[in-house]
Amino acid sequence: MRLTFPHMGPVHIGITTIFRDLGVDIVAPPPITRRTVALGVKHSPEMACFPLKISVGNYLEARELGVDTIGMLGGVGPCRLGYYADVEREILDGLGAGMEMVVLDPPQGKPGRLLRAISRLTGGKPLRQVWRSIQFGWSKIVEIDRLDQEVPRARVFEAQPGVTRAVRAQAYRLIEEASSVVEAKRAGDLAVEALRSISLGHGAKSPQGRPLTVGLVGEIYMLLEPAANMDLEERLGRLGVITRRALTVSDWVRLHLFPGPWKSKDGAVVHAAARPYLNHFVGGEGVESVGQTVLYQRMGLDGVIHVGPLTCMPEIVAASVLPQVARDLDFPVMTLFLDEHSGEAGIQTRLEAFVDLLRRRRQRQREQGTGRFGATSARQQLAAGLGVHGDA
Amino acid sequence: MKGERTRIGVPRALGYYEYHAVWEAFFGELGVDAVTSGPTTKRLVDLGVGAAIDEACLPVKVFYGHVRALMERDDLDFIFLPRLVSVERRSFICPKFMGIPDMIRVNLVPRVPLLDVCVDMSRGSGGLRRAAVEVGERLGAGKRQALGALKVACGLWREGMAASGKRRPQCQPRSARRGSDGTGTGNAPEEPALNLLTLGHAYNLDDPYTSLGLREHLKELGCEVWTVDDFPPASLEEAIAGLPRHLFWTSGRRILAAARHVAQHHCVDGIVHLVSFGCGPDSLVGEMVQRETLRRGGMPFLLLTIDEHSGEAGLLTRLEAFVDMIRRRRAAGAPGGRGLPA
Ligand code: SF4
Ligand code: SF4
Repeated sequence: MRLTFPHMGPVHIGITTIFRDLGVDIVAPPPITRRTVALGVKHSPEMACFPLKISVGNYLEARELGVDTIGMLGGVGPCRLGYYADVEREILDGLGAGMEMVVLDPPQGKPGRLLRAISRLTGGKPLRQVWRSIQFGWSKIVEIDRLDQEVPRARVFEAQPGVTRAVRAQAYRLIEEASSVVEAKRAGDLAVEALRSISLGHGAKSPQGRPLTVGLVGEIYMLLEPAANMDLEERLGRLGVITRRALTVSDWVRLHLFPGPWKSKDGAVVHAAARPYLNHFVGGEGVESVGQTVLYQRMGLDGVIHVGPLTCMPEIVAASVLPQVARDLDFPVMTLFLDEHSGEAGIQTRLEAFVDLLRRRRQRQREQGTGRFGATSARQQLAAGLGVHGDA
Repeated sequence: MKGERTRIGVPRALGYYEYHAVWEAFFGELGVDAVTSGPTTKRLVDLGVGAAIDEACLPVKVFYGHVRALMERDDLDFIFLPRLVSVERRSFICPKFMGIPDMIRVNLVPRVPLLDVCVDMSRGSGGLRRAAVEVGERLGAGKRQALGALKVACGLWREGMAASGKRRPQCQPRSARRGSDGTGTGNAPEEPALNLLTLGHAYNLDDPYTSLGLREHLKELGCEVWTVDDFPPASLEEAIAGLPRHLFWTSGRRILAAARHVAQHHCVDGIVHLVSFGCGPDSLVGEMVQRETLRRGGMPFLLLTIDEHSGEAGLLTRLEAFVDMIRRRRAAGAPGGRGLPA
């Protein structure tokens, strides 16, 4: 058996670690390229959501690496993700791909279920060992999240274009190759240090004024996968904008896989913030998108970009109420629905226009002495936990 | 002008089509008048399209339109806006159904109080009883009265369900052999009516405006129109039992079950699946339906995708072509659907 799974940002680093540690022959699909997307689009239902299409492309490309088994997350609704595996299995069978789809259902309060399912995939490794390997994989995810948090600032301040990207790529590789929790931690520490020195070190360019900070909210796949979101964070970085992502990989694991042991305490805060606008779970990340937008406003960010795949149901609900959030809070919010037909030029134009709007708004606030440049600015910044490395 | 009795406005869209009988009976028992927004019209659709975001599916836009129409009235005490999360165990309707009361409340700034109540039966019927009590409270009825009204309403509903599914005789398996001798009926009339199964959400199929008169057109083309309701629930359950995993959308599950059932028993000549452009559940369920029918011998299948720009003329052309194709296949000796014993 050679196992693979769909990509989603850097998740593959955690997953391959877990299964390799358990002695499973596992390969991540090749990195997502135009070809991946084209393959997936060709064989998926036209109106399926974008993540499903890319996943199908992942499987077909992984098949070229001799993969015969796919591990895919199941689900219990209400959103499409829970039914992806069934449709994907049909698609692959229809193509005669000869790949077996193993569905790992989320534990739903019974973490043992997922452990047992993984144990079955590994030919019956003891649960305790499975759990140890999961913790090992988890430690890498945590390191990745930690270094990812430093990336947006470094990107904006880097003196040498592209250096942040290179440092991150290398750090990912080191973390991926780490053979112990300690080693992963060390790689993470190194990366964080390197990235901080980029944003603080000598030669760090100091852009005009404190950089804009924009929150990114939306559907998890679009948030995490640069190949799906047109490299949104990188693009914004080039426009001199520091990005803050509402959800990280570890958040997602907490939300969907192990709501038990690692349940995020912030969940309740986010839901409370969303409540005046969206008072019920709507699947996916709909409520998170709304709640985080409200929270980002409170933190004093300059604006929010909301991303979702076209036809994404929870994000359509969120996008329906976000304009009112923006009006009530006088806070710029832009929604981007993306799919395989989205054109780069169009997205770039919209981003530039949005960033322009934020700059003008910042300028206005500066002149009027309101917003974060008013008397409470420093306190607000501390509250926001943004750090004060800028030149405000 | 408000009358003596409480008047509650019910948008004739989305969940209305499947559940209005229960709602109306329930309100009736509580001595409340339910007033609907009337049939969908161009004006209502325009009202909805103007208020909803572009990316929303047509049924959601139509819902907005109906609510806006109700808001224009000044004789209502409430507008009923149920949050239909789930109507059966382990199942949901659609994420948009879970969010729509908020989408309305936040965007339309209602003058009339909204009677929004969450109906979630994914963990059992307790969710429905809680909803009934909550609505009763808002309407000034006690717990006992509300539960009593619910009991009556559900009784009526069950009677209705029992009646549907008996409308058509059980669909027997046709002999598995295919070919010119496979029709098995022997005494086929010259131009037999075609039996076509229409699949889709009730709020599309049962709304003559959004469905562009699909059903009427099919009848005019000499077709006998079947729907999911024409099959006994037990046969649907049987048809879907073989799936490897539970399909958690109530409507999608019925659609797929009916498709599997007719594909297996060949009791119709073709399937017409009506879906809204951008519908999430149907994007996947529709794919499964097509693959199922293909796998089981390739039943003629027509996918009709509608949105606010769809026109009746285009629909008619496609229906005619589809019906012609089936008739030609038949003339060329392909077996027909068994249909009804005369
Ligand atoms: S949340 Fe959006 S992208 Fe994810 S399954 Fe649901 S509709 Fe698809
Ligand atoms: S089921 Fe489809 S058509 Fe109905 S509300 Fe949901 S997305 Fe729209």
